[in-house]
Amino acid sequence: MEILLAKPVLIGMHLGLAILGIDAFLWLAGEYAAGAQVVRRRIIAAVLGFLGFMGSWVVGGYYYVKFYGPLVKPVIKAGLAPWAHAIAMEAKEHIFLLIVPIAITVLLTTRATESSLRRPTMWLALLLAGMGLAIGAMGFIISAAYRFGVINTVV
Amino acid sequence: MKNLKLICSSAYSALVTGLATVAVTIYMEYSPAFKVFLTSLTSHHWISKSLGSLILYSLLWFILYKSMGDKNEQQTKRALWSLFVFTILSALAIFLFYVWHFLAT
Repeated sequence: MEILLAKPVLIGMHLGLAILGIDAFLWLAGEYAAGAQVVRRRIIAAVLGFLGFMGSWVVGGYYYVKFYGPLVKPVIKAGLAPWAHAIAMEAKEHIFLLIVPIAITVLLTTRATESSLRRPTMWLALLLAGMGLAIGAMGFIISAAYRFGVINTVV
Repeated sequence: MKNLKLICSSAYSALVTGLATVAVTIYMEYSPAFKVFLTSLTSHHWISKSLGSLILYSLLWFILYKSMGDKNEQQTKRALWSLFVFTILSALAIFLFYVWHFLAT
């Protein structure tokens, strides 16, 4: 348990689960784009995507509340790129809140066999993957700002 | 039909939850008292917003599902496209607000 709650492991799990979410919704979009009719495969992809994003939310939230606020945020704010917190982190933590309700909606839609719902579902799946990637990019900026913040503090 | 109603109510609930998230996020930046209130609920304002968004979505979903009539394919399609468009607008609103907020302060 101690290892699981270590800071690098938490960040790794947050990222890994988000990648699972992104990949699963890309897979789902691919199923729709290819015109595949296998409902079971669509459901598996959407369930994996939902669980990935949900897990990433919980693990990332724990890290954010427990470690980011007291340890990371002050270093970034005092570093070379305080905007990494003020823009990237603030946007990331709030945009993430939009994802799970959409993932549930997409999961429900994978059972539908109506052909006119295929296109909007595919675009919603792509939107989820795109939002996940954008949030991942923001996470990368935040991590880099922290590293350079530490260097700045030491030098 | 039942599945379409389920999808429709979920899509509109997700859409309204997204708009509420934007409103709460922006309002919190201008109201320290509101931020303190959110923090007092769960020990951290972000946890309150996270749980609040899930509760709001679930409640809306339940209410809409119970109050909506049956939905057809066309209405469900419209609900999904509306969710798509409003999610992009909500995400952009949050991002641009923080860019503007940083530059203005």
